[in-house]
Amino acid sequence: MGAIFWKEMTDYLGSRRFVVLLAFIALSGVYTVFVAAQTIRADVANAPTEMVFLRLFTTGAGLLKPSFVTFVGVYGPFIGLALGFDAISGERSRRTLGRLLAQPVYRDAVINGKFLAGAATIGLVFLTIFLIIGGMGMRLLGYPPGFQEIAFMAVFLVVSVLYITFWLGVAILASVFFERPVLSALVSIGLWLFFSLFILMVARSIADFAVADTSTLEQQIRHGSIQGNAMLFSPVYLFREATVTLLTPTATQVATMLLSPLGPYSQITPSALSLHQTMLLVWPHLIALVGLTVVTFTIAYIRFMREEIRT
Amino acid sequence: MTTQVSDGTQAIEARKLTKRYDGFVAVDGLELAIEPGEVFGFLGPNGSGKTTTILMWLGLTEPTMGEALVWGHNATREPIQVKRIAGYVPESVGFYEDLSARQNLIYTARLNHIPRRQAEEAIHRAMGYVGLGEVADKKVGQFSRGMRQRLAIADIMVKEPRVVFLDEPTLGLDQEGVNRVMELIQRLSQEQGITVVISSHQLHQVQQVCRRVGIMSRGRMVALGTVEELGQALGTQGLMVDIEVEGWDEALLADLRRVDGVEHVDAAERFITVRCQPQTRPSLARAILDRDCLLVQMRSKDLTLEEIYLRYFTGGEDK
Repeated sequence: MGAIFWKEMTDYLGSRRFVVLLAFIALSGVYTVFVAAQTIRADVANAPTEMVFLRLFTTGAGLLKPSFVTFVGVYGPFIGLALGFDAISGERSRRTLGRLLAQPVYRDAVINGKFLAGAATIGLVFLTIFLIIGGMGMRLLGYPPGFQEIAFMAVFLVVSVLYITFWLGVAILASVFFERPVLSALVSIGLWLFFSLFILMVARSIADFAVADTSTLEQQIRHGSIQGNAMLFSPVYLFREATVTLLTPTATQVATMLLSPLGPYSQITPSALSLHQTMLLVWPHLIALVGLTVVTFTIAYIRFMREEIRT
Repeated sequence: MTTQVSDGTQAIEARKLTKRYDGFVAVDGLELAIEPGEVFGFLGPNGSGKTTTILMWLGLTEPTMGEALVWGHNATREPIQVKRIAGYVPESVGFYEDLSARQNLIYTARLNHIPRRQAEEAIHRAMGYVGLGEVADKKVGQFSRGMRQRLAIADIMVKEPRVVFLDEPTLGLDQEGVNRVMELIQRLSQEQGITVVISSHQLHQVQQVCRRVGIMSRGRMVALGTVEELGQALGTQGLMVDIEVEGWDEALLADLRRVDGVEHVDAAERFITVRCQPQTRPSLARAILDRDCLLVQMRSKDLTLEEIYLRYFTGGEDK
């Protein structure tokens, strides 16, 4: 599997499509942080003094200048999709699959190697972006992050990588099922649309079905809670909730949380949380993200292992 | 049809090899043994089960029944052992277009766990062998079909295989390309003693290099043997003789039908076609001269492999 892993990793890092995408993500990401730093500096008198570094990731200025977290949540999946959509379908359309599988490698080494190489690439990319942001943050804010902040950032890094790796899994799944890379790309983008947008409607329908009458406050709360929980089936909202919890331990944004589609039950307590307490809160989200990735990849794996190879 | 029992010396074997897809039999109880060093021509029209059989020998497709063996290794149960010693050139072979020819082969070498230095030497040798030494560092995207086909041969040489499967290696090549590929295959077998299986539906291309051929039709092997053997097997069924005669009439045809050893007589325009035993040809000429007809020419049609193939294949079709 080593040979496949390294070949795929080299391919990923060297491919034009990836370099373009990486430049886009890195530049935009850095830009969001720059805007955030400007906002924080402009408002330095009113701002809380705790965990300022984390606010680099969460401070946005309206729809056109989203925060880094929002940016990763919305556009990050494309890194995963771009890496995975032609994993298997590309081998088929280039007609290299038969030749590859005729070499003395186990068939699962092919799909595992591609998946791990993709995950490693994602990790590398995010580590790089985070280091750039760290350096920028120090310069723009004028002081280095404390231990607590570094720890929160590290967990955020892990959550981001897991999140994008889920999308890598989705893309590989599509690439196993569809012969043509174009179709595979379209289908994976379709899944992204579903989990980002349509899940809202689905969750609302489920909530409407469960709580038909929302005349009392209690029923409204139940309705909201059901909707919120249904949306957690989408990794997009899992990621959003986990990162908001992680990056706003001071809970300065309780107000916005209450207004968010996740509803008032989003677990925010109005005082700064320790890393330990935060981990307790985001642990289920992490497990769910990993679980969804495992399920997605397992389906792809089984399908690929059972496939009849017709060169 | 030969049914050899393995004593471990056969390079490639099929035992009651069967592959069924829902309601459709792709390969039907195939029995075949190919000796070490042999070049075997695997003939048959598209969809006759050649590719499926090759994929079963490589362990890429699981047989419904029976066994596919390569040097005694069961391809279904020990695919890795088989793939270590078997080279495979699929029909319309593909490479990583963005990598150079050399890089493509290095990847193959790494998948085969060949140490770097040894791999570099083997690749250098193989590229020279197939005549691609000068373009080794060009991207495969710029290669023509013929070059890709030769690169595919270099690709299998890197792992120093004991058996090689080539699926339609001449498809889409011009005559020169076909000749080069066939020459390479012949050299592989002669110089390195590699057992070769070539599948093809273009018989004349395979005829020159194959010691034995097998003809597949609808998943069954309908004929097996050397080209001459197949010709003789057909020869006993009678020889076709074309006779050009000026001014023939029904009376002559009746005379010809009466000649000993004649099986069938047919006439169209100036030609009379007779199916008969080979030794009856002089009697045919005499019968024509006795009728005072002008015998312009007479020639017996020797069966080319093409005709053998057509006859066996159409025979298979009728069933």
